[in-house]
Amino acid sequence: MGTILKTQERRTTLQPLPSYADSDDSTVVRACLDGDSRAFTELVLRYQARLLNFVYRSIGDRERAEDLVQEAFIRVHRHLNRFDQGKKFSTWIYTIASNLAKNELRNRSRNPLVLFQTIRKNWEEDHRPLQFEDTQSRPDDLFRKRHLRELVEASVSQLPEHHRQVFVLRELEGKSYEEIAEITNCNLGTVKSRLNRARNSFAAIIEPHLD
Amino acid sequence: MNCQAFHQTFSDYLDGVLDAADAVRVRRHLEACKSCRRIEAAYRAGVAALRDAEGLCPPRELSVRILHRVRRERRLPALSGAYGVAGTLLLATLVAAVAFDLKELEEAAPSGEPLVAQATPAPPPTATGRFDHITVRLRDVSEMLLGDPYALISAIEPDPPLRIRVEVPAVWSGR
Repeated sequence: MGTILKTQERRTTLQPLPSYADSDDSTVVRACLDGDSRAFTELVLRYQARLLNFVYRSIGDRERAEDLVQEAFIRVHRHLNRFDQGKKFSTWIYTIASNLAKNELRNRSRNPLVLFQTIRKNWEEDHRPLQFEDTQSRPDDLFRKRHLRELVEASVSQLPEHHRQVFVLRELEGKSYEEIAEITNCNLGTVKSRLNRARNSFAAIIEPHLD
Repeated sequence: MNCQAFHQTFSDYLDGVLDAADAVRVRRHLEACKSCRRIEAAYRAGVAALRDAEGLCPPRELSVRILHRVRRERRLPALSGAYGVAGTLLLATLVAAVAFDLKELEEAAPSGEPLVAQATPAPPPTATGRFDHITVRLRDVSEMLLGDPYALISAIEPDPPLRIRVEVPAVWSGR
């Protein structure tokens, strides 16, 4: 009898658990609040790359960006029960990450040992991560593409912090003005004016380098 | 429309939210003004290059690290979050109270009598020779988890140590 019970128990535990790959964020969040730890894993897998790039573009330090992304997820886990499910989860998690990035920059300005601009200037070619060679393009095309990519990355880093953040959220993360206002804790008018200035500055930095 | 007005409406123009009349004015200005045309072209090329650029790829251990910390928080909910400070203060108070009691007991006890037993001294080296410490590095758990995106959860059930320090006879370590 004992053996039969054990076998039945094992069958129950081995049943495939639901996958959240096709579920929307609100379903995953609800599952998470119901105590399914796999749902939280799904949120991590879904957002870690996006947040890493967003935070990295804000603070310019990869290792620190990883730490902040980790911290963002810890806060999500800790305060998920306070999340208003009528709102978008992505806006909420970006708000947390944005606040962490702002704090990081504030702390740095108080203790300016490492400034982002300094990192970018001293960033030698050899320190960059290895990239696979694009065998489809001609060498001069490759050079131009790479040059342009470096130029635009450097141009983003030259924007003032609050302009950079709205620019990245709009152009790279595809957020609406309302979402950006919520994430950056600004009103809509401020977002619009900052974005207009950021776009003008970005174009003005790149324009002299355009053939 | 002059260049200044163009720069003021640049963002709305890019988003395509200008009303029809303003949109026509901007287009006419662009046809006539080479400098603003270059600005627009530079902007579009720059954003396209940014979007084409491959973003950072998070290292595999990042998700493992996050899930580990989350799991640790679940285990110690009283010492995390808003309760963290209160919990730490309570713990510090308890430790201080115990230390104070021990000190009082020690002062009350007759001199020469230790209150706490001494730890057993380490055993002497065996006849075969001295001992040595080696560090064994285990395989990264995340390397074994390819295929199942949720496998991380089961893998972190016991805290996987990535390095273990082991005491072995000196001859084994080869040093």
